[in-house]
Amino acid sequence: MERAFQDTFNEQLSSTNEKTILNVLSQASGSLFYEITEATNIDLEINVEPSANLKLFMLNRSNGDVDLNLTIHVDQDATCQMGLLDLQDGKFNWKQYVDLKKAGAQFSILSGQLCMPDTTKICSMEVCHEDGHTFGQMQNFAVLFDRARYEMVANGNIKKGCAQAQSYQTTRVLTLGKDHIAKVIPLLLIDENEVKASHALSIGQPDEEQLYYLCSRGLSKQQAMGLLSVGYFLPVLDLVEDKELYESLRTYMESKVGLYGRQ
Amino acid sequence: MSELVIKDLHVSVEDKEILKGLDLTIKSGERHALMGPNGNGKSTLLAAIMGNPKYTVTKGSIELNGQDVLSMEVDERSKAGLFLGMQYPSVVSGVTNSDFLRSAINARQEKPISLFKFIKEMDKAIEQLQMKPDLAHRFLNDGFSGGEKKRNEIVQMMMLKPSIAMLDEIDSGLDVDALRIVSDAIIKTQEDTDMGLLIVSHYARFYEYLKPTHAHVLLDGKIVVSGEADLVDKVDQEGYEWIEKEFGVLANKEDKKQPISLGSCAVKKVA
Repeated sequence: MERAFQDTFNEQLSSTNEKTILNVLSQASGSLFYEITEATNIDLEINVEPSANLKLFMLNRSNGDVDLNLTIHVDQDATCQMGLLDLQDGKFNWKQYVDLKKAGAQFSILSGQLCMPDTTKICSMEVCHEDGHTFGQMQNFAVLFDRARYEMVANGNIKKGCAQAQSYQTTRVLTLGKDHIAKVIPLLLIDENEVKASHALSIGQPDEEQLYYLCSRGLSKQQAMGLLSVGYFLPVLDLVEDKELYESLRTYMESKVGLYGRQ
Repeated sequence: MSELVIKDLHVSVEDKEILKGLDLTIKSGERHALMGPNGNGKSTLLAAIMGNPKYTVTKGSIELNGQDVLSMEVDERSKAGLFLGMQYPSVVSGVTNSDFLRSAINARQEKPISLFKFIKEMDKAIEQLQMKPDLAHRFLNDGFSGGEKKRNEIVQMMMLKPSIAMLDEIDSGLDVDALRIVSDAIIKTQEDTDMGLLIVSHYARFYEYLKPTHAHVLLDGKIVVSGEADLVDKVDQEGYEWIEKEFGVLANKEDKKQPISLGSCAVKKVA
């Protein structure tokens, strides 16, 4: 399946098991809300053509395991801003490759993944700078409960000759249970001197003092942990511009993290 | 009418006994000033009442309206009506003040507070404490000055409407004008809710504003002397020595930590 978007657009799409190509035509600007529903094997390619502007928000609503294979090509002076929220209980296996093809191409991603007890989330993403003056930013957040497994390999790859490229990444993992596995590998492969790049990583439990403080205002331990989780996911949700959708997603997120009691 | 009754309270921290048999009763509408030199158990008392897990109650009882407070979890104590305005409130990045407070209010009532009512009440509290209007949207205590953190504790107290509020050196970090603003807010909240107050402070000026109905001096883990507001003035003018002499109790002196050497970075080898 292939679709093209031109001028201004604001569309909602659902996942399909068929290979899908989405073309955001040159100078076009708009938002795509992509819902992962029952399709389990998603192969998606997005082309953001010169001077186009795409805001992409992906939400996992599937009750089963998901394999997501996503490729995004960002052309000259084009921008792609992406958010991915996965709060479901199924396994999520996610491979993403972003190609910043020409100067002025910009890509940023904010992802939030909730790893409930015994769930697995595995991701390998690469933002490849094929030209100078390109910008890539990866910010990944995860919250882990008992026996959950989270793997994130984030790779900022700046090829030779790509002067003034910028590659940044942050991964933050909050562990709220026992016997979980968090494996985060931040990579920077740089083959050029005149670049800016950084990576940051944190994995840890909430501060006991923080929990006590929140509980001292009437929140149960579970609600306090839920609130801390909200703090991890809210920046991702902030990418949703539609107010009604934002509110419904927020309620869904708050109930998933146990703010109203574990479901 | 609420009543907090503390009897023969013994509290330890890391096997060191800090409170050694403390009795105190606080009722609705009362304002209790709690004074004493540093390191004699004032903050320990407040933390133990609130249920801070670092503090172990080894003996005695705490009851709120006849309910056993010691058997309650921290959140249950809050929901029962206790509030502690902390000396060093935690910073919680990523959680906004409004999200935190709305969750805290909703945790204590069956029906969630309407957004309109919540915003109205929060705006009122922020205005009363003369804080910046963006407070609701800022992360909890993140990047706050010392004074802002203390004012934010009072905003929380006003919103949560406890039956007994404990304020642990809430005046530290406040300038003269802020002290007046915070004092007025505390008095107004008490007038509105009839809460009982237990206030820890080292400064007579704060107590001058608040006009306590009761005053106590805590030395070496016990309340040695209690009285009315004039006790605050006497302590302010004469210190604690007269109490030590008159009641034969020695104040616990804070250990002054000596600087320690971490070793040298390099050792010069002598041939």
